[in-house]
Amino acid sequence: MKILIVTPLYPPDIASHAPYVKDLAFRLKSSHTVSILTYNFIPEKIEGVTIHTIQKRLSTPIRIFKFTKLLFALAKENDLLYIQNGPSVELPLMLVSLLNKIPYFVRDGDPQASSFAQSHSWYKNLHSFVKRNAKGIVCHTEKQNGLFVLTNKAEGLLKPEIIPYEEKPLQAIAQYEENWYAHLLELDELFNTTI
Amino acid sequence: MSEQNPKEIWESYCKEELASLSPILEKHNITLDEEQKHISGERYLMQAVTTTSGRKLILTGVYNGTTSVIIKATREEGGKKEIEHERNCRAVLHAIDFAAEVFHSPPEILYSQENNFTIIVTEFIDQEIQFTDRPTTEQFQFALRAFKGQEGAHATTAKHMRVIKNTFEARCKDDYLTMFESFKENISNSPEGAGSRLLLEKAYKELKSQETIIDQYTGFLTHTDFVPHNIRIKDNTIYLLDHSSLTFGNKYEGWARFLNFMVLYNQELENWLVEYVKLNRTQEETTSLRMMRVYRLGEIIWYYVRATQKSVGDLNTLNSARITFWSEILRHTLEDTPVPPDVTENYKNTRDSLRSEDEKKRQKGLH
Repeated sequence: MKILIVTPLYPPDIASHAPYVKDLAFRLKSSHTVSILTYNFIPEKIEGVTIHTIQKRLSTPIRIFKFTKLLFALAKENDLLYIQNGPSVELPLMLVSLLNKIPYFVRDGDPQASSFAQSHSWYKNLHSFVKRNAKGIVCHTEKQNGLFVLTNKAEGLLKPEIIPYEEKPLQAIAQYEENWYAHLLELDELFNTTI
Repeated sequence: MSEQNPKEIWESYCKEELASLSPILEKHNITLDEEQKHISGERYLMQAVTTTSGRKLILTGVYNGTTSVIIKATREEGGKKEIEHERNCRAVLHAIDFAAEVFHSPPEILYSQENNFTIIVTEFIDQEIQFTDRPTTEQFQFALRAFKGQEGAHATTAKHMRVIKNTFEARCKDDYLTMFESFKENISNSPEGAGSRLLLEKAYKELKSQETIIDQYTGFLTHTDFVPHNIRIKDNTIYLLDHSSLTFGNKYEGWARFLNFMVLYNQELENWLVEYVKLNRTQEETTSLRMMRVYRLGEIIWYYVRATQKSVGDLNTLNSARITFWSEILRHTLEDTPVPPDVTENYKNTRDSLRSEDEKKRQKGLH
């Protein structure tokens, strides 16, 4: 399957979903053709994964326009889109989805974006539209009625920290690998049953 | 004349400024301490070498008879700008809306412009224990927390840049390369540093070859003078001092300053922090850290070349030894090999035998 991961943040950005996306792309690439579309300056490379970037330091309207244009072109080349929530991604997605019926999945993984939606009605409406038209929602915190929901804890997908003077946290690392394995299985099932 | 005897000039400057400043401070219920270690020892040389814009006094005192305070005061235009810049940095730092962490600064007690003086008085944060006296594991945890706090402010968008542009300097790879090139040229063209020429050429080439990686990790808040005497810890809260050293640049610039400092003060901590980056972050980040250490080592060698030119006697001999020592550290950093303990020990012995009594007193309790 050809998968395009669309995300507002990607390393060296530091929010927790940035490393999640990098990890996900790295793990999916062995069984899928994976590419990433993100706002960035110089993204961290992943061998075997193409990363398309729109420069973050452009003014907001210009970067949203460029992102939308590129997303429109890339959507045609992929079987599905995996969307990390955030207004700067969801707005282009909404515009593209009106013209192109490509299946997409939304991961509600950015708590900051979710709380932004609570206080900004335009984003709340945009987010509702995007979720309504999604093939599935990936959510780590709560069950949502009527939607395919995964409930793995997001923290469980973050690499455990290794402190040089402490014993290597082998158990935590094993658990982290186990969580990723389960997460990939669930995603696989989600993609295969809904596409 | 002023080039020949910076110590006497500094002492006479301090005496004159203190005489005019003391009555002003007393009016605000601030009494100066009898001993002022921040203006003694090698401070005169630091002022002569680093202060391009203007001199200022850094003093200690007591406010209202109970609160220990730090006083910064100057009548020189450049010094005034520095004080105002630092104050502005502190205000903007607390207002940055894209920072993941909350930064703590000592509370401001007084900011005043009177009798041509610009004065700022902040509370002295009395920590339970000096940073370098803490167990190394605690030093590691606090340092890492402070680094992560700084990295949490990542200016990436045009909006972020607008917030910081009038206050903080923003550095990219071109700035680092240009500055290192000027260190290299200046050091190589001086009799004191000519011996390091080949090493510096090699370092510049290495930096140039890694310029994309240097740029990749720019846009992060970093304290360019992040050393123990610029952090204070009280009740598990980390307070950052010297806000004028905050800049948006490569996220490892502050790490590099700290790790180069720890070569001398705690090699175990230095090794742990380097190892932490290797174990938890990407290969690019490890390279970025090493490149920033190279850059900062060029800067420190240039500093001591200038200090050698402005010093005489034992201090001149000591500054020459410092050039040799830091060049050796640069060589090991470039080769990515550990610094043999005897290199550090020998240097420390030389340093301790050549340091003045005043400087030894100033150093005591500084970190």
